[in-house]
Amino acid sequence: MQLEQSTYTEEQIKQAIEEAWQELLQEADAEDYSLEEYLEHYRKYWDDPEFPNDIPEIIIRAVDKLIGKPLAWYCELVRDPSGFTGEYSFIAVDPQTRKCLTYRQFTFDGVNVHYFLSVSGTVIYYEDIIGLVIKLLNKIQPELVTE
Amino acid sequence: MEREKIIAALETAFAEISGAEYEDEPETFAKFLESFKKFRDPDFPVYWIPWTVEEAVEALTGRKFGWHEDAFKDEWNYTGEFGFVCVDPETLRCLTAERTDERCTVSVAFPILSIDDAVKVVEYFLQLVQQA
Repeated sequence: MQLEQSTYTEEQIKQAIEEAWQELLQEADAEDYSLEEYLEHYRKYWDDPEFPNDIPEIIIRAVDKLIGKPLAWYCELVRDPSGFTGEYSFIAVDPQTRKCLTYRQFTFDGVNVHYFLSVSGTVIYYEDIIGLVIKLLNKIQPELVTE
Repeated sequence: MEREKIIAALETAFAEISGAEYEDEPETFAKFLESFKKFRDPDFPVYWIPWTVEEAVEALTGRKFGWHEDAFKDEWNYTGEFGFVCVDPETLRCLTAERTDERCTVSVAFPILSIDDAVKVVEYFLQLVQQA
């Protein structure tokens, strides 16, 4: 997987992800196991309603840590008729200004404008989490600067 | 706004979205919702419901908005509840964001299982647009 460029180093991003993961473990009073181990279970059981899907929370916390402020979030686990697809859609809003930070607009045909509020990505492996955090940071950071 | 006007906007929007406008005996939005309430079949084109509401809001306000919608599902089936996020493209302000002392929520959720429910949701968004 080709990762997008980021103003953060891969080490900083990994550290934020690991911190988020450790926080979740502590809050759940769970035994210490690695995010890699969790992802192994996740790949097997992601569509089991009993499986605790912590992926969105890890991503949200990591992004909040890296930009240095908690944002307001909406996350959808994308489903098709056969179940969860592995894709997540995130909408981030600045709680102070209520500006949507993940907003995009474009035209497919040069005439009709289409609006998209979310940034989406599929998570299967650890690298996908890093990629999605970078994708969100790259969209959110410039929007925060121009507020 | 009068209920009849909202229902007319919903039916027009639904006819466009479902393609019913091209049928000899088109199904109405009210009938479609009745079927949805009865069967909530996982193969049901459930997203026609929030899209119809959104298009009716845009027709009644004469404005376009950025929308994100989610049809909630439990482990078996659609629950009949829908999540909406609405953004004003001119200001980029998230109209559905609500801030309390402790946190800020981004979306709103409503059950839509009848034409009355749909009218209430349209009324909610019309009020939201007016306040903004």
